[in-house]
Amino acid sequence: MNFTEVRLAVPNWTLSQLQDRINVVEASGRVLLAISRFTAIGSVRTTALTFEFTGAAPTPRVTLIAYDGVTLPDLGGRTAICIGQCVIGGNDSHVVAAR
Amino acid sequence: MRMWPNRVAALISTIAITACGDGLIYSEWTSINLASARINADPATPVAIKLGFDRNVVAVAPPIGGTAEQTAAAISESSPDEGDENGCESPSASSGEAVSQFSTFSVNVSTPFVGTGTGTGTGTGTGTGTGTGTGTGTGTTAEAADWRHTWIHSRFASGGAALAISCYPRVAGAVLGFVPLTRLTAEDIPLLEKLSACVNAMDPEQLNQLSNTLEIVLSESAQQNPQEAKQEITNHFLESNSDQLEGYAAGMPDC
Repeated sequence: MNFTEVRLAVPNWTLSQLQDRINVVEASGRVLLAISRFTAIGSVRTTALTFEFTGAAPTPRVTLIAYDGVTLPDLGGRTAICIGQCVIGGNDSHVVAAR
Repeated sequence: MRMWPNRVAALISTIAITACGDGLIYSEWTSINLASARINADPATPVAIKLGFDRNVVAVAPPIGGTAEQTAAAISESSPDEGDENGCESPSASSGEAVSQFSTFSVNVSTPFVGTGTGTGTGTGTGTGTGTGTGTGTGTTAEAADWRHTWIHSRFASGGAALAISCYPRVAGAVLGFVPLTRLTAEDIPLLEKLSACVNAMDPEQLNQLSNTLEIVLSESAQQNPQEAKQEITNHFLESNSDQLEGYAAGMPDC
């Protein structure tokens, strides 16, 4: 049986910082499943990331690419994992996660 | 067997009926879905059953003394980027809410036959106006008969308690079981990969020995489930800082 976890990011991280932290989590045997904006009741917004614990670190590493929310960007040969809304540097951003 | 469509229809109907008046709606429903059942010739796994479990909670409080537009304006005017590292000093935008609620729900299935089960759940609640409702809690329910090995874990914070934690995702995470992403950085990846690979290759006895050595207290369910034990041990790695990770490495000399 695998286990699903929801992990919360710090909202003022940059896209690069968030990407690095996702790859740290994956290095511990978890696979990124989904990205979503987490809006707590009140004024806090941050990014919630859903991982599945499989016990095996996936490869290659995840790359996060910001886009306009309408047209998916060129992934440079990578395969998209998921798309979602993130809070990057305190601001909402559409992001594609690919590997 | 799916039970929720009727509940959803009832809820939607109720909302439609009462949306023009003052009132509070609270509804929750649960569905158990039998994904597959297979009988095998292999005596090691005579029966394999997959169950899905969904639970939803909805709380709706029609505005009392305020409108949806006013509430939206209050939220848009709030400043999310001040205060602590998570960007909040006070839940000013939600001070007029009648009911607020966070909840999570999980199911572990361990029945006398060989089977697997998973469960996830989420809950949200919004509202405006005045009202009461507070509380935090955790619950465990073991149902009877054939479900005596099904464990349901529910955590929630509602009303004032939900308002109090809404400003602090890390606190909300602690209550609900959400966890911070990690404090480690890309520089820690090689050591983390090495330690995690060691843990993921361990048998149950080795996992118990390691948890004792590293002074990691495993949950009761993790003590019975090696995969969950691996998840909990690597969670400790992820929630440590670089120095603490080095400390874990020192406690795993054979890794």
